[in-house]
Amino acid sequence: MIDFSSPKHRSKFGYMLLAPAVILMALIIIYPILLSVDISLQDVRIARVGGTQAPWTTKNYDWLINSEEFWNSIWVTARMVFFVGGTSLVIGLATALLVNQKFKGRALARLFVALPWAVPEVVATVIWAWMLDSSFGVINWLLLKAGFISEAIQFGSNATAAFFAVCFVMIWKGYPLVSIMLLAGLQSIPAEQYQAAKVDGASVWQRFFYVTLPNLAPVIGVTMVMTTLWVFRDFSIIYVLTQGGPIGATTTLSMLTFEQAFSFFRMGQGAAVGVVTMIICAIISRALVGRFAKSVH
Amino acid sequence: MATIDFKNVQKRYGQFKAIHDFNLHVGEGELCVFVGPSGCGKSTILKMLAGLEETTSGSIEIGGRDVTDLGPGKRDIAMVFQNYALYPHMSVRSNIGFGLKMRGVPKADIDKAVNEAAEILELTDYLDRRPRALSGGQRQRVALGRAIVREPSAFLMDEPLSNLDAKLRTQTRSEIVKLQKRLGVTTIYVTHDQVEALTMATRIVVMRGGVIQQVGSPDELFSQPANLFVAGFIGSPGMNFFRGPVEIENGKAFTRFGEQRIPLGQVPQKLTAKEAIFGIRPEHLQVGETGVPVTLSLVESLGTEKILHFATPKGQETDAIETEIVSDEDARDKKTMLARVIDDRRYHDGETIRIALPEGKVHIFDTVTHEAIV
Amino acid sequence: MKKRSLLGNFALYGTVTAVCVVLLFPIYWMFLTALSPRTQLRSYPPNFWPRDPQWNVFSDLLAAQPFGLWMWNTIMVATATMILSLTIGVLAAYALSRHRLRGGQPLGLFILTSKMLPATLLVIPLFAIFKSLGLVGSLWSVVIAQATLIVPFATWMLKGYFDTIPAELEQAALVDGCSPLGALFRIVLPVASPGLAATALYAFVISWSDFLYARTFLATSESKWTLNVGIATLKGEFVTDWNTIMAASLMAAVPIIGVYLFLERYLVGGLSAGAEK
Repeated sequence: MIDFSSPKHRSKFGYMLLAPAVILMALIIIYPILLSVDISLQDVRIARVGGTQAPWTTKNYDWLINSEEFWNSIWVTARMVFFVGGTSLVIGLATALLVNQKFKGRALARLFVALPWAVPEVVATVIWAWMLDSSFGVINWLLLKAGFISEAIQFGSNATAAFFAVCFVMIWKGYPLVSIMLLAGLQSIPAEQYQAAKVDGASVWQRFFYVTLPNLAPVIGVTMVMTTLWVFRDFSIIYVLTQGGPIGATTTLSMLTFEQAFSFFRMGQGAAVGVVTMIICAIISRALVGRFAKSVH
Repeated sequence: MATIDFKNVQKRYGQFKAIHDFNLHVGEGELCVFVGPSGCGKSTILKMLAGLEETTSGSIEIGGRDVTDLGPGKRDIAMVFQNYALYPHMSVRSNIGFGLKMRGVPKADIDKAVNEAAEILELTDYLDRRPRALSGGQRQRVALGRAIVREPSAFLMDEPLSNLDAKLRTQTRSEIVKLQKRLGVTTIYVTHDQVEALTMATRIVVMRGGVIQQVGSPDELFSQPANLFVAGFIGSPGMNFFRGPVEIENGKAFTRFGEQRIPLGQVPQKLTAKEAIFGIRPEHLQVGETGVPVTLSLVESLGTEKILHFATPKGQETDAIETEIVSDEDARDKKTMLARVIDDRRYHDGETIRIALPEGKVHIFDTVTHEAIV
Repeated sequence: MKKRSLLGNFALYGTVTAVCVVLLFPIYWMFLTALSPRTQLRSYPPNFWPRDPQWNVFSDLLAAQPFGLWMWNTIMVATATMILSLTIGVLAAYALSRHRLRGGQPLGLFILTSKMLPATLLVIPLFAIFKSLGLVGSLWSVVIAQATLIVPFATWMLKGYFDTIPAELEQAALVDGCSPLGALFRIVLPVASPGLAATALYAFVISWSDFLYARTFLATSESKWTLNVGIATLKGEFVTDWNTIMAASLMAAVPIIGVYLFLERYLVGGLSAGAEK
């Protein structure tokens, strides 16, 4: 029996604690990733483990390059990332700045502002689906009443409307996290910097641009990477709201992966899309994290 | 109560050598202080003694028993940490008794021992509080209580006073010394504060860069520093240094300080150059009718005690001060010397006074090795 | 600090109230719809105030659908995932926080980047694996699949908490005679208990919100559905039956909202701690 309290064996104790996690990660993340690359190189409809292995082929990737659906989904994903990311940042920053003010009931306001974060995605989506309902939805009613539109928007069948419907839900679900993280960032800015800026005669806007934003830049960077990856990975909202339709208007890479694999049962093609998505995600997070990490130092 | 022996102890982190060949014998009941600037390895060696860090090579013995590979709990030691490391979720009573509980001591005996320790440390009224509800000084005493209750063969203390304010630190310093004398437990005490070392230690180990510089009693370190580093590190304010020639005439040795010829107590034997670095403590400089005229650049008054600043004579500045001395007190530079005087005279900035260097108070160091030359 | 003027105060409170009303309107709308009689849902203009709350919608829901069973399934999955992630996460996080281990840094990096794996990709090989293991249709398949996300997350969050606990605490415990495992259980874990609670609840919340894995692995056996699968299916089937769907949604959302309101401070702290590193 090894005495793990001995300074000589202490690091063995560390490895022992780490072992379950490493083994689990290897079994449920590393192996599946390798397996998915393997599947993406096989011409299979329903993938199985064991049994005879189909020969490796680049057929799925050939399909991918030549398929309109794939390029469309990249375009949809990019637009969605841009719109959802930008809007969440604006709303998140605004709400963070608001609840960073000193006022009575601030704790309660903070609680409320981030509340959508706690609503499960499927629930959030069905609420919005109901609000956006073309016949009896409250949003169409409001827009009609206010005179912005003359007839109800068909969020189900109008491609542009469906795209924005998905974006609204994503923004509503996504901005609280941005807000929470930016608020933490705001609170870590030393008050002395604001006092010094005030002494130097900086206006509210100057203080925002020269003190708040530079201090917040790294947090904004991390937050944007997280939001981007979230939009890339999201499945529930799109699936429940539009199933990727109409005619692919809301089919992101993530949706396309699932659709190919589990709606059309072409797991080889699905895996190929998924592998490409994973590589794009890796490149984005590396590039952005790297740049912002640099700007901090 | 036990002796502690370090035999050829080394510590490496990858390529970096944190401790070079550390050899030391600490006798029974000693209060041995490890002192040195931050990063000198004093805390590392203490952690190795506690069993919290692995020893790369060599061996450590406590009471003649090799403990090099034993766990901290099996070394029969108690440790006081800089941040006290009190268990925040336990009462003071449980904190003090935890070590005994882990050793399977019956509950009644634990209670008795905890109460005794609490009485010694005047913590009886606080036994049921959480550490959070105590002042800094009280927390410090709980940490001491946790150490003494176990009656270990050695106490290890890692800068236990550095989180206290200045007044409390002085007071607690003497309390720890009294407690240690009363219990007679061999103690290793780590600090970066040379005043703490001088006032508390029966023996001081001065360390730098993982190497022992000198081991000795406070008196020895003060009056016979082994090298330039120890000379500059021990004492407050630190020793003055200047560069000067060594002239030998009729079997007597002299150097020059400004215009004046200064007789040296002894003829330096092992000199590698015609020059040497000379050191004199600020309190040994004599202000009077004779001596070298110097102009005061700054007078710091601490009541009856005054610190006089004046320029090192031209051409006698030594770079060794800046490379060797890492003093945590006032900024010392090679161009300024200090004299510490206690008298009723008033001194003014810009005033010219005469300074004498009494024979036998001047320390001589080699210009190359920076070792003391006797 | 300068005192705000009365007008400034008014503007501030006005803005805060307006922002909260707009942002929280969907949640209110869910409540309102769930409690409204079905006939009122088709009235123009809509009602903005519950005039005739129908509390029996919940009992109707439980009677018409195996809703209680779905809730039970969801609770089982979330609890199992929470226990699994916390157990493995605590050990790994503690090792990463305290021990300078070879390979520790790449592992930390891996844990961080596992967040960016597209779940729809992972679900394909997992489906193949579970198929061959005969796990498709079993709740365990969902627990294991969720662990791909939640174990790394819990580990990272817990590491953040452990990093804030001074190492001297367990060093003191070791000197006091604890074994390394004893120091972890007697000292570190009790001190980290708020962090443990926050991480556990967070794991519970993520698991509760899962749709993809449950939808893929459990689709064919209705008795194993989780709430989210049930709600999504309801939405597909009864297009006009919005009050039932909102009642179901309400029951799925309330536990999570409750957890959030109760533990917001810890969750926020843990989230941003994990994010800034």
